[in-house]
Amino acid sequence: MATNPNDIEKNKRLAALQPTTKKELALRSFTTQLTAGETLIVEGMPAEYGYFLLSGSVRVLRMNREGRVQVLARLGPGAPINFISLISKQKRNQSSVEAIQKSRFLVLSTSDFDDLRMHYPDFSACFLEIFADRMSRMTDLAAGLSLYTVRARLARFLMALADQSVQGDWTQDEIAAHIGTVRDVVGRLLREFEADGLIKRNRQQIFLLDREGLIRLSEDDS
Amino acid sequence: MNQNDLPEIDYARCDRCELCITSCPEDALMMTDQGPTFKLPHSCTYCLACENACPTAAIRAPLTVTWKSD
Ligand code: SF4
Ligand code: SF4
Repeated sequence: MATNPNDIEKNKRLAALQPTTKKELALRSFTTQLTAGETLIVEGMPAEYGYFLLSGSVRVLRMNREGRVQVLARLGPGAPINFISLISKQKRNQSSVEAIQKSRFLVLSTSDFDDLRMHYPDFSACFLEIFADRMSRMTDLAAGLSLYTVRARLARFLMALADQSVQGDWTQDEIAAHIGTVRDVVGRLLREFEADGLIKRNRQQIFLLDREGLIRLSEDDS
Repeated sequence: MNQNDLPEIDYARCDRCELCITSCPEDALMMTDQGPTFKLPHSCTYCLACENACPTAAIRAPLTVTWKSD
């Protein structure tokens, strides 16, 4: 029950740890694999493990007030998962996480996570960076929400997907969570973009037709 | 992804509420013992209505985004 050191080296953050810390992390952690649709953690259950996504992709889900399951985020390789739940007071999983495709994870128990944080300052610093990055992403998203219209944010994101600077096939829900809106708005805007000749939909394919028009739209401020 | 790809149904998440079936404008789905399944896969237009209707996020209809190359 240990992690292959190569898996640690493939993760940019973990690879930057001191050799002794990496060795200890490899000894205390293990890897697991899920196929598409399998659940990694369930919202509200005791938080027992934190994870790093080694390959594949997952979606983060939470039940909303109306009892509907909502997609909060989609994560790709390298993403840390559930560590905030491990250090929260309630020590409960704050959301559910499910594999979108075959995915591999490095798994670390709460007690090993706590031990490593206590005894390996670089490990602790790594998590401070992770949390600082998350805060900064939230700030960027908040700034994006106030600076750009949702049409502009969707136009940017569609171009990022087409340019493959963002990987994968995304659902309307996942796109909505990523650009800070709701699925219905994404659906309505896709129909508007199509009516304006910017895109064309054919079943699951969205073809971007008008680069200039989309770039102009992506600069639309609020 | 190809022309015949269909929305993906995750039976582990499904609570068999049948909302996807009643929301499908093409009547492409039917309920079975394991959950909803495609009775008329070729009728599915990938309109996303079933994904939108599902309260448990059991249906995923991913979209592929590319530049039109011509
Ligand atoms: S995508 Fe539309 S046509 Fe296809 S099964 Fe779902 S609701 Fe029916
Ligand atoms: S709407 Fe969702 S939960 Fe209800 S039967 Fe269809 S797949 Fe299952």
